[in-house]
Amino acid sequence: MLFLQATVDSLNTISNTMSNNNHSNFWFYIAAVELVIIGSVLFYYSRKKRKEQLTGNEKFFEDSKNNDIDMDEVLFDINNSGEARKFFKQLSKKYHPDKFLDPAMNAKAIIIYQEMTKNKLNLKNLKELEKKAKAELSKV
Amino acid sequence: MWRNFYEIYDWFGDMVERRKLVLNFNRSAKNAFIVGASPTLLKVSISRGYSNFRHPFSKWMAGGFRIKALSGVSLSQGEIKDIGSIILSNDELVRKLVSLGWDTLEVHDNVSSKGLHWELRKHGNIGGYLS
Repeated sequence: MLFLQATVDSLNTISNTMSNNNHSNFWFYIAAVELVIIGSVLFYYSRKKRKEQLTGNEKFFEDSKNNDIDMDEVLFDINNSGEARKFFKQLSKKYHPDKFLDPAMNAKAIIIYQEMTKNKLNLKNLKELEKKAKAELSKV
Repeated sequence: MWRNFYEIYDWFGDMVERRKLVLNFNRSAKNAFIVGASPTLLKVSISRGYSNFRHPFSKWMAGGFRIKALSGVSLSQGEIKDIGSIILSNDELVRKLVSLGWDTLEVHDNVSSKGLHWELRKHGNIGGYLS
């Protein structure tokens, strides 16, 4: 209500000043600035409220838009793709599920191997997966 | 009335975000090239994209995310494919590209006219949202 009252007041001041043809009036500029500020605040809060009400597809895409992506990492992956491929070959020889005969270990190895295959061009993720594989598959 | 404002605001917001993404990629690629981490200079530009790959969020006449390799030697098919695969394996990036209106990923060589293109909505584990 206060916002609306303030908006109406500022609009009245602007129209009065315009009708008097006195553009250099100090209060005209004050009211104009006030109107812009109030409008921005109203717009910001109504937009925030609208964002909170989003569901399903709209929310999914809104979240995707706001994700910050580190391009240096993407470039690092591109530049080290050859090295990642070699490293993946080493890992696949070492941690292939067929090497684990125990059913429980085999199930773990399958999951880790699937992740490795998915990240076979991502050196950083492969190194993390190697640590995971060492921790989980070397308990024999 | 507010809805129109939101649409205008979102449109400008998307344009800013698209521009930021392209600039970030180009800056990182330039830094990697200067430092010597990368043998080729990659550059991203916005292209028209392929009409067959359109989805509901596609930007009109600006749906292509084109990565151009500015190398002195022409890139092999495998290298081009690798660059594409790395981009496509990054789910977050693919989702961001799709939500900002890109529908096609293009990787091109500078020397010859050879290149590959992928349909973005088929990657990034988007599922049935855009089908």
